Amino acid sequence: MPKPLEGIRVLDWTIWQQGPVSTMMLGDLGAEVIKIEDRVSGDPGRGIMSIGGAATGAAGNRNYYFETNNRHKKSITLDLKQPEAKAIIYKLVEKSDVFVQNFRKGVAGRLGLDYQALSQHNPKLIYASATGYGPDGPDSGEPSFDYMGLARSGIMNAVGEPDMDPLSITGGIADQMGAIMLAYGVMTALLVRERYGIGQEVDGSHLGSMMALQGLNLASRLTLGKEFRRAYRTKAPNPLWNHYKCGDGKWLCLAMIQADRYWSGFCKTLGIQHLEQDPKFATMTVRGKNSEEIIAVIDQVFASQPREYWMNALKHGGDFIYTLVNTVNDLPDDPQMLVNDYIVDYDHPSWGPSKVVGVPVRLSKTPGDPRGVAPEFGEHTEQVLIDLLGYSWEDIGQLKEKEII
Amino acid sequence: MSRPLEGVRVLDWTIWQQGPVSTMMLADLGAEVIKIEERVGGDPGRGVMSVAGAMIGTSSGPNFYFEANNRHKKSLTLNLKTPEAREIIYKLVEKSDVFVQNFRKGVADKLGLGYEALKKYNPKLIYASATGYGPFGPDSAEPSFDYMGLARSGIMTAAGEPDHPPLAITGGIADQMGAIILSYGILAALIARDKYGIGQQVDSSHLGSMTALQGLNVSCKAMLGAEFKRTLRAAAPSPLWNHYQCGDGKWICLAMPQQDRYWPDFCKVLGVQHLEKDPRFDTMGKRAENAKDLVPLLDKVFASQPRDHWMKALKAGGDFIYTVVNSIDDLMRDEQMLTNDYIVEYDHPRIGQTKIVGFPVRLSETPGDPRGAAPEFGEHTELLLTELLDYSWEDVARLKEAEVI
Repeated sequence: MPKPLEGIRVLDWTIWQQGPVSTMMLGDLGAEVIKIEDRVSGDPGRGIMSIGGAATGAAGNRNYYFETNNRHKKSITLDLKQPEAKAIIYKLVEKSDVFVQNFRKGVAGRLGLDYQALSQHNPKLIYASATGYGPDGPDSGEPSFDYMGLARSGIMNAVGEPDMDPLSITGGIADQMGAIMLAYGVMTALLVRERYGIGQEVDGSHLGSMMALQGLNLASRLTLGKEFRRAYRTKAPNPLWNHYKCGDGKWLCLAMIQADRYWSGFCKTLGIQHLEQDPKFATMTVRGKNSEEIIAVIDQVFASQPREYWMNALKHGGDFIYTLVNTVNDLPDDPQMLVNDYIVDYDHPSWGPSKVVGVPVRLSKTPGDPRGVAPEFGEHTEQVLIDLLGYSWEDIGQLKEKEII
Repeated sequence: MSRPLEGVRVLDWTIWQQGPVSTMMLADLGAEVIKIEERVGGDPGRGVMSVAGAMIGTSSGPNFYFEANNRHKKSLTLNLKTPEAREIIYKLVEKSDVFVQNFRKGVADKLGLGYEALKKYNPKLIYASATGYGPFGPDSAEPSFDYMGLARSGIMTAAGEPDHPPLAITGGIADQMGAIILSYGILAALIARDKYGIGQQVDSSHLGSMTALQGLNVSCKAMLGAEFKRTLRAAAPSPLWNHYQCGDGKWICLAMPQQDRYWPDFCKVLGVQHLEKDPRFDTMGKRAENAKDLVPLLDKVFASQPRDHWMKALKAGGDFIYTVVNSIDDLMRDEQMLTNDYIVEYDHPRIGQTKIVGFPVRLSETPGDPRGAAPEFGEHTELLLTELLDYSWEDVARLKEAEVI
């Protein structure tokens, strides 16, 4: 069975992470993605050699940042300032379904690559933009990186505990989120095109997508006038909805929302039966009032044995809801990650055996596939021009000479 | 123009947040969502009166939690243990496109509501499950809540600073993420159904979707064996990629990756021209080396004036990349949120004039619309049975008497 987006052609004029990840996700689902790169500099993501002080380089003069964000894609290099390069893009647009870009507002228009210009060559084109702050408003022309999405969305004040400063989250999650929602919007527009025969513009931003991530928190503020507060771990209102450090320094996490159902079995498992009927702790309500005291006790108990001990004890002690607190480091060794193909083995043509992040959603008959290599700079320029657009080798020679490709 | 999913019918047998939000998103796009609720009890989300200690509703009125997760939907109450109720569901399946559930592995099969049972009534049915840990593996049958998704995915150790313990993030983001990716999978399956004429199963989990959120971070570990480290704000390797507290206690965030381009103007705006050529700070490399000296100097400068002063100074002083660090509360007043319809006004039939979270992606021709009320418990039972399934009022009376509906 082919993949869901087989036969869909995506023109990907994006750089860094937010734009590239959105088209990578479409590539995972089977779309053909042609990455358009400026012939002199290309996607600056190719040049990233360190992030947050950590080296990103891998074998074959490649870096994992570019590789991750651009797997599956073809690369075509063009000098976009030349009219002939634009003519090539217009021809590609005629043969494509989706165009994705993440340049600052106005850039595409100046180069003749905005929706107005491109839709003339393909009225059913889906034109998708990854932006920082959405298509309208005072900041719609401002540049944005991941960190801006964290800051502006409120999440830096939703991390951690009440007396902490705003805190950052590593790993580019606002970029990922913007990419995910843009791909979501493109898929919706593809369905619309099938059903109503129209193309349209799609915008997915850092701000809007991070809002979706925090939808419940924001809904609370909108409907009730108050937001979820950060909580002190040591005073968590429900001690059975909390995380605890074990004797070996590793952490585990409990999430028993209907806590009274679990309390008795939990006390037994932890060997604190004497506290079960204690009037200070016997019900969820009184535990909430005396949570600092009971959490100190539970802290002490968990600290008395390594995590594995407690994972075993909880498994056998009842139908508890609990799990380990992983670090990202732990994920490639977590069997649950591997057996669900959230991380898969991939024999990369230039690096050899490697592992890559899988497709986050499983489709039983038309699954996506994350195995694909990121292209060398301009690797497919000739192929795309000849096979897709019908240029001759002579044309190619000329275009090269004029430094258009 | 109709909305993208107009005419698509979704049967929504979900509770709490992760499942309900996925179908709410489809409803925002125009799908008809019929929420199937156990006639005794219903979705426990209706009874949630507090989240993390904060009251979220009153026993007499709608609570924002249920409201936010179930807007637009119709409610049908059934006693799922009776054969007649099952029969009603089978009839609904014949007339529907998508079935979504988020019960623990095995529950659906036990009630005759698993994929194998339902697809007999509609071979093109898309059967979607929101799970904790994915369809396979040792923990595939374990229950999971939002907090489990945070813990297991590594994000609790990607938030904050190196010496912090694992930190929670408020607001239910793992539930949101599981919902977003499930609804993404359903869109892909709808496209596949249009193209290949097939139905299939779709599974999205807390673990898999949180992996997608952290895709770059997880890739780093999977490919290179390294992970992004949390960094100390006070010694950020790039002081121009950092957040600072201003004189009025409010925070500002800078994200300038190619910082040498910005450094001279930045020094001028801050009035620290003497640092521009300071041999400790005059290149990106040296600023990284001496960050723990530079950040406190910048802290002091930012602390000397309120945030408004610095926002204006940065705006006027160059083409910098910066923004405010919002709290969820601040989003309410952020013009950028309002102009882009990320927050919209809604005159709710029961709550009255309120504001709700908008649709995160803008589609220019077929936008989503978040305005819709959550149903009363069983509000549409009779309507659906008589109008959609052609039951007579006599049948309805009999089913009521038999406590099937």
